[in-house]
Amino acid sequence: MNNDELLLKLLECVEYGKVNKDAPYPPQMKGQDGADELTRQALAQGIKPADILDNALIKAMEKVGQKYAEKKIFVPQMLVAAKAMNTAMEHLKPYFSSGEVRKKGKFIIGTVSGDLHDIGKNLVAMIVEGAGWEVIDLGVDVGSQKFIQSIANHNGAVVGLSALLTTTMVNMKSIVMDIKAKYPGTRLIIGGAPVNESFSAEIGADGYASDPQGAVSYLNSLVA
Amino acid sequence: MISRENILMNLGVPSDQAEPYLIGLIDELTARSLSVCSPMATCSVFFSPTIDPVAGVMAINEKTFGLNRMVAKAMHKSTSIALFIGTCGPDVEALSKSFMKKGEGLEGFIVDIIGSEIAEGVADFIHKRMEKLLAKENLKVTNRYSPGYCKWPVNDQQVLFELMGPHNCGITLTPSSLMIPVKSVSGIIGVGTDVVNAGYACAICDAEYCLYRDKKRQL
Repeated sequence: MNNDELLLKLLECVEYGKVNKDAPYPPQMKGQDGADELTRQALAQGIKPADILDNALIKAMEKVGQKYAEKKIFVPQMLVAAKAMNTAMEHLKPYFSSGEVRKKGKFIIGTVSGDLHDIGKNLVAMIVEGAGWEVIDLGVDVGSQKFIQSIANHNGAVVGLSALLTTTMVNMKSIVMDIKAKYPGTRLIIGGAPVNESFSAEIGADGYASDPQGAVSYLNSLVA
Repeated sequence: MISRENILMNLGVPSDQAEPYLIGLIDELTARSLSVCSPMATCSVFFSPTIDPVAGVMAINEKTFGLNRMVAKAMHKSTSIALFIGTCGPDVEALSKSFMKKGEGLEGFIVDIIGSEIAEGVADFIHKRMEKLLAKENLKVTNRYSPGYCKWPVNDQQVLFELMGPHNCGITLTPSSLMIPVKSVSGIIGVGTDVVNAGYACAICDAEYCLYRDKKRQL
């Protein structure tokens, strides 16, 4: 395969969630090389890591996002695509460390204080990472101080707050207020089953994402 | 007990558009989750509760629950109140987390949903069992309600666990009144000759931000 064909094939693997040769999904690509093998091959063929990222991986995730927005695919397909993307990204890690390729920006995420639910937060982290962002996951039961400390350590990071319960979503308000008081320029988005756009506006957050792709769209709009 | 339809609904996938691979994965993970879960439940019945539907409060054995008016109204004709606690145990959560840690988000997400389904199934089991047993005594049961839902403050979980004493299925509460293991359920069921199990209740509840609000109508 020449370089263009290889990048196209890699794009296809990420788009359809073909992680590696052994992966049974998607059935129509059974037995074929996946994102794992093709990324290694691309690097071995001398394709620049930045080209792999820009012309295959990120383009693939953009197609995934588009199809999700059009309801042509659903969360499961998005998650397998993210897994393929993250598998490919593992091979690019050394180039991120050396500065040869760069992430789109930093995203700090955590489930707010009082709340132990992490599944939604983890899914968002996974998809956002797959979209080319560096994710700093603070875990669950995270209060204002921990978010503020992390912002101090990661200048310019966007912050995402997650909550599952009506009883803990109220804690988002004080966290947003505390962060905005200390770092007024910090962009904040919220998400989680009980929250919505109007609640986001009510508590002074900058955005609301109803699903992981919504978070990616918001983040990408900041660097477009 | 575990409904594939519910799992698909929680994944946001219309059942007529589920790929065979996904169906197979759900079935496989359901079997795996059921093999590691350890569901258990306990229930205690308290007689002669004092219920004020206008103030939205209920007292049992001198302990007061700050139910909101909607829940208090549903309970107020009860001659006794059953408190229940149930769990699917810690291992399903652990399985979900192990998938997530390996970057297998889809598997982790599906197992998490199955854990919720098992916990809800435990609550269903208690509810239906009570309904069946009490029917023999010509008694009826109400809907079941849980702290944190239908605008009933979650911190009443502390009161509920206090009344249940050592009968807690090994569940502990965090300072913010969440249960550990997370895949656990607790709540109350009213009992009496003149109470109603009204089923679906979102239409009469004004908890605008509830995550269960009209959930089954979304797809």
